[in-house]
Amino acid sequence: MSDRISRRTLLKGASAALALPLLDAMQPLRAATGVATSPTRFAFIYIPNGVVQDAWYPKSTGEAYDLPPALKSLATHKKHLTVITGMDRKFGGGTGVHAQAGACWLTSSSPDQPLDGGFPTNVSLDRMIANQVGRETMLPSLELSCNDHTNNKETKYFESISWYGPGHCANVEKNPRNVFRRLFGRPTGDPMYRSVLDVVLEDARALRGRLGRDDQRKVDEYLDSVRATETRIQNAEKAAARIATPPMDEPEGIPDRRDDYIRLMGELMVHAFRLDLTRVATLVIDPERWDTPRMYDGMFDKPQNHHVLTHTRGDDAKETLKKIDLFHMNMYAKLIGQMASIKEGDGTLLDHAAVTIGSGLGDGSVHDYGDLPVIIAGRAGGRLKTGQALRPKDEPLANLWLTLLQLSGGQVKRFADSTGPLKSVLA
Amino acid sequence: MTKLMPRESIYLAVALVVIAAVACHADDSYTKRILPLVDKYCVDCHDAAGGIKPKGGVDLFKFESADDVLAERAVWKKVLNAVRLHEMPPARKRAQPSDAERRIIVDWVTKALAKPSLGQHVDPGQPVMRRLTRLEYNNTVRDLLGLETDVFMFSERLPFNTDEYYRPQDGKLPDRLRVTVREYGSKYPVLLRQAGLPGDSKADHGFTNRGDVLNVSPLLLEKYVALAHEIMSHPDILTRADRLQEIFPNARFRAPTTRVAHRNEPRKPQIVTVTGKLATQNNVARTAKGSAYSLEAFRKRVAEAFAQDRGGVYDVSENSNTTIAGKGGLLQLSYGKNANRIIGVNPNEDLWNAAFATAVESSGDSLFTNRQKLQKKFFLQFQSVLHSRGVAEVGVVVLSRRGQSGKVRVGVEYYGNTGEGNVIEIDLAEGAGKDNTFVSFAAPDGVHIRNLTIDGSGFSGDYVLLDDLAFITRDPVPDGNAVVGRETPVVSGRELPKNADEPQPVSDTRPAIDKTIARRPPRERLAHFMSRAFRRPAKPAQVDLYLGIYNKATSSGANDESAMKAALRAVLCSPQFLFRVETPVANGRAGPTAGVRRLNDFELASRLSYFLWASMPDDELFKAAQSGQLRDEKELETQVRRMLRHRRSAELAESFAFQWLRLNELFGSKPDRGRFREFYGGTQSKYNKGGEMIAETLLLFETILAENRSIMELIDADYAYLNATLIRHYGMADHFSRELASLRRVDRRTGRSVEDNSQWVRVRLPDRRRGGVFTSGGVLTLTSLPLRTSPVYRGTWMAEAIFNRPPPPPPAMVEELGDDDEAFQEAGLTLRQKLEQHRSKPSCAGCHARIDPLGFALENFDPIGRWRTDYAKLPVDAKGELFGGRKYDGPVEFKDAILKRKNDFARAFTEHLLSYALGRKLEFFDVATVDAIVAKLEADGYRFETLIIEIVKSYPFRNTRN
Repeated sequence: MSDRISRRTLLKGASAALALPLLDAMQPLRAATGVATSPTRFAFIYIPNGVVQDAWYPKSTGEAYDLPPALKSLATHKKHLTVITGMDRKFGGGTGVHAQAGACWLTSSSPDQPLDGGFPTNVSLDRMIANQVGRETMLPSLELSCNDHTNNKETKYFESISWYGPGHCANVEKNPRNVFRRLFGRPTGDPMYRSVLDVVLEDARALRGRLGRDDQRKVDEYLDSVRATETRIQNAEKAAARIATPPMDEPEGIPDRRDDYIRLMGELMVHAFRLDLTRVATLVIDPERWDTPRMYDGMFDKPQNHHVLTHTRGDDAKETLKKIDLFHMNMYAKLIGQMASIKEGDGTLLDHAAVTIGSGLGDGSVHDYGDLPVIIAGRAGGRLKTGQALRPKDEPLANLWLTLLQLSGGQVKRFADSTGPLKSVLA
Repeated sequence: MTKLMPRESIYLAVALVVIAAVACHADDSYTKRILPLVDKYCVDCHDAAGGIKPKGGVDLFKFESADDVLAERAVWKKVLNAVRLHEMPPARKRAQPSDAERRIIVDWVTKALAKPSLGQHVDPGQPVMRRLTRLEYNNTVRDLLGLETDVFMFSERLPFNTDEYYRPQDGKLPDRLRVTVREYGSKYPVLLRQAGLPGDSKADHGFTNRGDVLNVSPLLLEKYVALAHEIMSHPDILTRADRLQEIFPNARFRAPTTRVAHRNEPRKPQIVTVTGKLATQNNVARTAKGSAYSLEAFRKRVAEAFAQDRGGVYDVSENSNTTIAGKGGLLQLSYGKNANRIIGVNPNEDLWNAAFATAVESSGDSLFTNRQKLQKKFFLQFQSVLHSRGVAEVGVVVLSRRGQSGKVRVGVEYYGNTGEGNVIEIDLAEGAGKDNTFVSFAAPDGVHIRNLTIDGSGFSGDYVLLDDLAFITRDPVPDGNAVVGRETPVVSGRELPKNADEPQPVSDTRPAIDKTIARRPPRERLAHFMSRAFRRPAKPAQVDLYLGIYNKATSSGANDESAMKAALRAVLCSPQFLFRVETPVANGRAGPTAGVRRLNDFELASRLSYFLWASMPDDELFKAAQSGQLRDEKELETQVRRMLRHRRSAELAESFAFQWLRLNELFGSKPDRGRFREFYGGTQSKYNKGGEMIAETLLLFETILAENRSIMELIDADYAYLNATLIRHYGMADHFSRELASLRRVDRRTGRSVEDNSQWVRVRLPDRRRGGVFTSGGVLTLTSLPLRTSPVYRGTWMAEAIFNRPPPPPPAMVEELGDDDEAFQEAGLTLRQKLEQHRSKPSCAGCHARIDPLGFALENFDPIGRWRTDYAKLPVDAKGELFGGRKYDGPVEFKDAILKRKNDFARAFTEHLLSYALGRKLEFFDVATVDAIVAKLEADGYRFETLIIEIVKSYPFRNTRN
């Protein structure tokens, strides 16, 4: 597994400005398959609290499977989908069960490695993939969240699924307007920014030498961030030269309706992919265990409390939960529909992507880490075999993540507690 | 501050704290006295021998000697807490140790935890480089630059006018206060309206300022870089940032002109200074047909009139979210030199200076409109108030809005000639800001405009949105020698600039600005700024580094101002600014030496200021640091007392208490709108009582803080600040009928007396069911579900906030429970019976036996905090037992039970506050510190100031690992 490649190496690798000699293990598989000339994009979308499994999980497997009721809005895209149910994760103990489900969904350390006060939050899959495919784009990756509550109620273990290393999470962007500006904002053309960044880098380096080990780690976070900013500004200038006008109007902020909000974030992600501003994105639809009532527009006329519902007895609660699942799948269908409608190279944008949606819990009512729901849409440039439902038995979810990491060019043999790649998803 | 300190004086001799060392190897007290107790009471469950998983993952069997204990003291901190609180052994099942036996364990473990763990030293805790939180960043930039407002809008800035009512310098909060609650998320005046930073997540069972939790990632750094740029390139930065007069020779700080009195305060005249710029945002699509002048032409006329002291434009943005009361409420627009001419605007209906989020949809971010929904027909009457001869020309912009369209009739009526005037009809097209229309009127010679009339009944929206009210008067054009308004203007017998009712500027004492610094060479100016920004004297090499930017800029042709701005930008991005750094002291060539060192004076000053103010030190604190005064305990105490009397200490309430009590969660509370209608303002209204509930709880905290009262009043106080809404909500309208009668104002429009919810009164509570934090509506609401109370949430809240013993997270498998207690009642069960039935699993029962009774004690309060004696059908059962056999029935006895062991709460509260002060989690080695503070606190009647002073004087606050 990639823990031989230290976090710092990985982060430095992400920064083109450094132009470090690349390790063999980090060489991208660019065009190695000979299939795709378009780059492959990876998205990971997180839904909290598991799903109502009997309505969500296909009854049969293989290519001839029937779409279950919860996935009915995906019908037109069935041939682009891989529905994978039955993979497992392990709960490491020592932390809240919900927090670990979300925070560690994508992390690369096995559950028995409590690196961060009980949380095995090592470098997450999206970042590892970004290290493979994100060096040429304006942003190595994009971290988004549709949690519009500004009262900072939750810890970072709920807010983010993307990790630079143990305890070091990526900030998520929640406001569509800020995402727009980050992607399409005109560079200020400010000649001084480079001097400013150079000076603070030098200041930080000098400071680092005077500090103890833990504080040095904090300065490293800072140094890495400055370098990434430098790269981004350079790349933004290039991108601006390429993209004359933004592909959409600047959003005014967070839309009132939740469906509009999620759709808008999805749209921004799609534009970022299409214009090759980034090749990796994560989107937290809602933090794990979210228990502030929310509107699921179009589904109910009053706010619903997703988490409380998962622990509520009775058929009413189940029916409500099914509708919430349906709501999320409708949003997902919209996103992949949009990607499927964009022509690119020999196919569509979706053909050159792997858009994964899933939850860190299988059955939310009992906090089950087993039997997890996952869907991948897109063929990743012809390398994924789509149009099938899989039900692996007793396989860790990490096997799927390992497969995706290898597919992005990562020459690694292990990911977290993986036992080997999930070959059945490959074309 | 600019003078650098001699290195020797910063370089402190390491202060050794040597605890009277008891030689461990010779200590057989463990085997003799403790081991037998452990064997008797603990190891039945806490034993990992034989491959069994010990309860709670705690194996006590393996500890065979004092050395074993010393090697794993974190475990023994848990033991201490559990034994002291009587959490362990579990009450029902196990034989209980006698009080004397508990004492033996507590004393022995306490001593063991206090022994040195860092060589010969007691560990003062690891220095963690702490990134500034969003709140601290804002406050630090504000104070560094000397801004009058926040830098940007952010959600930790609570929607209250704290700096108007919180005056700790008096040592007593007045019995009557004016507290206005803005809509959460509404806009308010700041330097940068569009900018911001992402919020900080709290630590698990901790605060947002915990160093280990605060990350920096590329997204955040990008924002710091962009923000620094925006701040320094703000067009008004040199006039709005007081302290920049020390850096830029050209800086001309403009003291704020008389401003709006109180938000939402209709009775006092509001005085607003107009500007000369009309519709500056270029968002006007057209001029209405029939308008007296085109926008272009009128813009020129107004600019000229403004320059000649005879007109101007009312810019709403400075006065967001105020109401101009209809009939009698008077918006006073001052114009002319020194703003000494005043024209009054008196609307016949309440108008609203709105700056709410939705305004963005229409134009800029401010506008004025009808206060009452659908009240779209109104007029504004002009009155000459001071040195004004009446209005001759008037212009206004009518704003279009998304999804709304239709006709708006704007007109004028002339003075003296009733019925005469002019009306222009504007047909607004749909679209946010797409059809903003300017319209202007000019009165014929010899008459004045008396009213500006608006009739939006043909418009499909609920509100007629207007902006940029421009007026030109009949005041004479001054000739070259005429001096307009030299005399001090007088309104109602009071001098305008010193209106006693006007709010004072945010800072209590405006620091003395040393403008002579601005005349010094660039290097010195920069060093001055950097030393304040870094909160310690900047080293010459550091100054050189940042001076490089200045030099580079000037050598490529930039002038002094823009070169200096570039350098300052970099300073605002420096790790030494963004982080609170405590640098280890190197020992000659050997580098940092392991051990303990006393913080240097500047480090200590920063710890103090971020603890008490969530901001950088002020000049006086810097001065005390520089002269070495903080090393003297007396001086340190003096500084603390001074700082607590400064209004900035309100951050202890708004940041510490707000997080401690989790009041932020009220902003997400959603009691069922059908069943708890009373919590809301109306079916469509965004208003709910949550904001006022937060205010009530914070006012209690602020009272205890400002008046140096006992922290036990947080549990049980016989007083509270309430407004009319809360008096009614709590069902105390009869008891407080006299107070209620006084919480009123006269509505000028109807002439009738109405309740005024911005007035708060300190009352003596009729009984002890209320008073204190956990019997206040806010806490009770935020711990409830939409349709029922949650004894589990409430119990968990109590365990965390009041006892600081958060229960472990629930196990992986949990059982289900219904979401509505009315449904349980149908089955003939109370929620409590339901929960007890439900808790049959032994794996759940252990924790819930501790958690749930804490919640049951509060079952007499419904999901929105109102008193009840029964559910709809069944009587409330609020009986329970607190650790150690303290039985209670209902909240009053519950308080008594807690107060029977005051030190449990004192310890928990001390731990919360110490953790906040240190910005780190507390460890086993802090137990002795906490115990010592609690002892002092107990001896001094648990007074708040004592607690704060003892924390500041404590070992971990003043020392650090090197």
